[in-house]
Amino acid sequence: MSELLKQIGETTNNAGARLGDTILEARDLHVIFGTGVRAVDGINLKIYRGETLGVVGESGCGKSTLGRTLCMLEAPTGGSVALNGLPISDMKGSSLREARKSLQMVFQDPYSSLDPRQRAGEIIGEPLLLAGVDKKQRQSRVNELLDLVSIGASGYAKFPREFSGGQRQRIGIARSLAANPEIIICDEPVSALDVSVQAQIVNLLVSLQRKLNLTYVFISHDLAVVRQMADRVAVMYLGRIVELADADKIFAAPRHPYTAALLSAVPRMPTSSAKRKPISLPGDPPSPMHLPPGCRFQARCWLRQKLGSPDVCSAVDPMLSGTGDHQAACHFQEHVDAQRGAQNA
Amino acid sequence: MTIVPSIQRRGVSLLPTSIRSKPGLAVAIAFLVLIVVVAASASFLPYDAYRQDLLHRNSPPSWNHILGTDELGRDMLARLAIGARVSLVVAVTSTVAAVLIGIAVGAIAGYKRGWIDSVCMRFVDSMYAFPDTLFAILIAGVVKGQLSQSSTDFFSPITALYKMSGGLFGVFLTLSFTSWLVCARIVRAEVIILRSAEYVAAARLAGASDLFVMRRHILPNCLPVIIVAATFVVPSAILLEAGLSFLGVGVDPPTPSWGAMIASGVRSMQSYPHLLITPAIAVGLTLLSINVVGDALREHFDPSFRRGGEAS
Amino acid sequence: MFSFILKRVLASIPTLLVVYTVTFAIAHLTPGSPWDSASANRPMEPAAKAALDAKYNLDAPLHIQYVGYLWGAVQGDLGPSFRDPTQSVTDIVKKFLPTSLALGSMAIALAIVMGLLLGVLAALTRSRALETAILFFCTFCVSLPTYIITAVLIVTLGVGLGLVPTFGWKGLFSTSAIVPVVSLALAPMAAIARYCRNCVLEVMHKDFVRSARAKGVKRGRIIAVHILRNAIIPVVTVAGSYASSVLVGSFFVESIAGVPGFGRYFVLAVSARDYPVIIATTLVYAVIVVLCNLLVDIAHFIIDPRTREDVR
Repeated sequence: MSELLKQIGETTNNAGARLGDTILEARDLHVIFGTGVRAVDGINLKIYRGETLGVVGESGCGKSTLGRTLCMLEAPTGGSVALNGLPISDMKGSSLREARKSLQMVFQDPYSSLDPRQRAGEIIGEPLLLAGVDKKQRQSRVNELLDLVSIGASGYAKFPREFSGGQRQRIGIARSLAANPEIIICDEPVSALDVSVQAQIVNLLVSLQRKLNLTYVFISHDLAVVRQMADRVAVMYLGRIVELADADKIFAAPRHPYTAALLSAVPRMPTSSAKRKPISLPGDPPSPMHLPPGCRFQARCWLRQKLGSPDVCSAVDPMLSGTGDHQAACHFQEHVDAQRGAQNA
Repeated sequence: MTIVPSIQRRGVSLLPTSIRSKPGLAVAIAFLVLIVVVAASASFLPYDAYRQDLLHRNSPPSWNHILGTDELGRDMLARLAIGARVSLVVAVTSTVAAVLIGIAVGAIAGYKRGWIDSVCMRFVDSMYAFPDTLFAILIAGVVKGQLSQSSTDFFSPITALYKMSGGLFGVFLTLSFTSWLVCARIVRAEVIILRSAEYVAAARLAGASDLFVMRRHILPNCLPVIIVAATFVVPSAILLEAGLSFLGVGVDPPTPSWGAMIASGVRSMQSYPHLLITPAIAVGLTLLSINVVGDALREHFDPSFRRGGEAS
Repeated sequence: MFSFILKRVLASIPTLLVVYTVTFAIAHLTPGSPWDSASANRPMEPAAKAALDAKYNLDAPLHIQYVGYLWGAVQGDLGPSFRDPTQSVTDIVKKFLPTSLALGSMAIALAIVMGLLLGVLAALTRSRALETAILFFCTFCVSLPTYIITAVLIVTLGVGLGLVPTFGWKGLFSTSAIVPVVSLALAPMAAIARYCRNCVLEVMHKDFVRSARAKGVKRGRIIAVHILRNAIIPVVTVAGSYASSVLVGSFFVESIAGVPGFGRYFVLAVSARDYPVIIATTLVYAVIVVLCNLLVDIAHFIIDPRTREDVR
């Protein structure tokens, strides 16, 4: 087990060689809720400076919990998180607040993420207030930020209810930028918005990343958006990462049957070369409280069916493995791409 | 500090339209204003509430005494006015105290969760097994017994206060101590919802301490439910005060209180019904008005009450 | 079902313990010994006091008294009454509780029937005036203290019209029961009617009622099958929360109407500092409250299948 972990660590290191250094690292991260739900069940992940890591998966797969745990809003029940080499999962109180400043979050719901009783200027300026910036500097910085997210200084004295959903999300982004963070965790930042507005917010995030040299963890269930944003993609299923690879590789040739099924569900333009029938997954994910032995995807796995239900699937829990820049947690990962082609034959 | 302006803004925009569409609400507010004015101007009335006139006992309403006189010949209108002062002061001050206790307990329990929450809520739930009137009587008995005795220990300033206020302070203690439960529950439930709001997470990420989050985000957003809680507490405080004085464990005679006046009215209701009817109408209409206003406030502040105004 | 009831019963034990502890503490916080008040004008000999203390175990350390009394109470021995040494508290409970329970059950039954009728009528009537009238009547009933209702009923029905006796008790099925039953029933009736109306209105807009109506199901059947069955659940909760206080009898109603019930006895016991009676009354109350809550839970369990999933 530990051998394997070490190996994974090394291989991901190799994969990230062309990117910057590691900014955020999760080791064997576990979050088990009081009800017994294993929301995050042993995740190892490195995030490199300047990249965008997309995290995708169905609702309930633990991707939001992972996001909240990475910034210690949720205390992990096992494992550790390190930010710039500092073990923030071991910290508490003011030292944690100090260490975590370079880490911010953009939230999903543009309605519950802004305090309805505060003006936009107060909301954006809150991190500055907490950092002890005086009032005058705070105001000028907030106005700068309002310009940066294209709201304009006129929005300073307005209340959240006076803004549209997209504008609210811009205010949320401005707030996350106020403390000059290095890494921003975006938890489904566009999924509550209209499609037309989604594109604007995605473009804003991309341009901010370039301007400010930001690192993003971009959590979404929308593969189309992730494809547009992400350099690397992690696919989550029931609290685990089942596939982790560069974005272009994962979209071209997935190595986990679950990823293949997700990809087949993305609508494509009719001109797209490979016309594929969607792969349907029978049933619901098993309860995250009572996981079957072996692979957690086995009950819904189309590949296992095709291969005649090999015993190894129900006996051995597959770990992430594969080449450095493309890893999957499947015993038959080499077959996935070929078989999904055959699906339509 | 940021709370006050926003409430005023909402209040101003709310009230005129609601009043126009609801004549009952307007009447209720007008009646409450009248009661407050009468209570405030009690000292300017022609008769003194304590002056006995044994020649004119139990006299029915007349031009001299608009509401008649009681069994000791005291002017009923004057006593009713002073009684209004007693009832309102006690109800409002004990509501404020109860709401503050409730906020403190509810906020800590709801924000901290864990064992503190379990202990607090176990206690609050158990206290609900006491019917509130019974509990108030118990407490009032103890408070009265404790405070009416001349003691030399650290209770003495409280005892002095108690005696100075004619037993009012005891009623205040009793009411504050019995009414905070409902407020603690309401606040706790709201805090539990609010603490998981994403803006609270954002504030924590920006380095906010628990105290900062509580002061800047959670408590201001609790304000609507706190007002809702107060709309439950004020009428029940008036009701309880009258009940305690009625039973003789409330305000001490000769201080007039609505409950005590009703009690003496009941004693002579067969021969002099006006002694009962006048304070009964005063208490009844005041409670009715407060409930009407409370319904309107609840409807405005609490979306779950919006459909039809379910209450009490 | 059985394990569900067992769990709820076990969960109520800590509640009762808290109630006992709080009551015990309050009773013993009251200064002075019970023998002082019994004969205020001629103080008792210290030796006689000590003898009485010893007889009733009052000289023991508090924690011994605490455990000792609890142990007796569990076995059904509620101790002696200080005020009336000729009978034990258990006798007193046996003597006075049945009257209060009978009165209370009658009142709560009346409240449920009338409340449901008024609530459904208010929700379904097409006359805006009738709806407003019912709602106002309900606010009125909720607002008025029971002692005012009782007194006013006695003055009008008893003194004015001579239809009912003005004081005393001749059993549940006599005219003497009318005033206490009606006074006790009005407040819960109003609360039930308001909740019932809100629920009916809410259910009426649910999809399954709309589709039933669209299918052409008759109005009467929709009301009976779809609306009432769903509206009954919150009504049970409200009725349950009122039942406990009504069942044991109101202090005020019993005192004013002269009903020899438990509530009246409690008031007398408080003024006499009759510790065992105070503690016992409170415990009896608490047990009844807990039982009522249990019944409500069981009723929910039977009526509403959704709550069954909560039982793990």
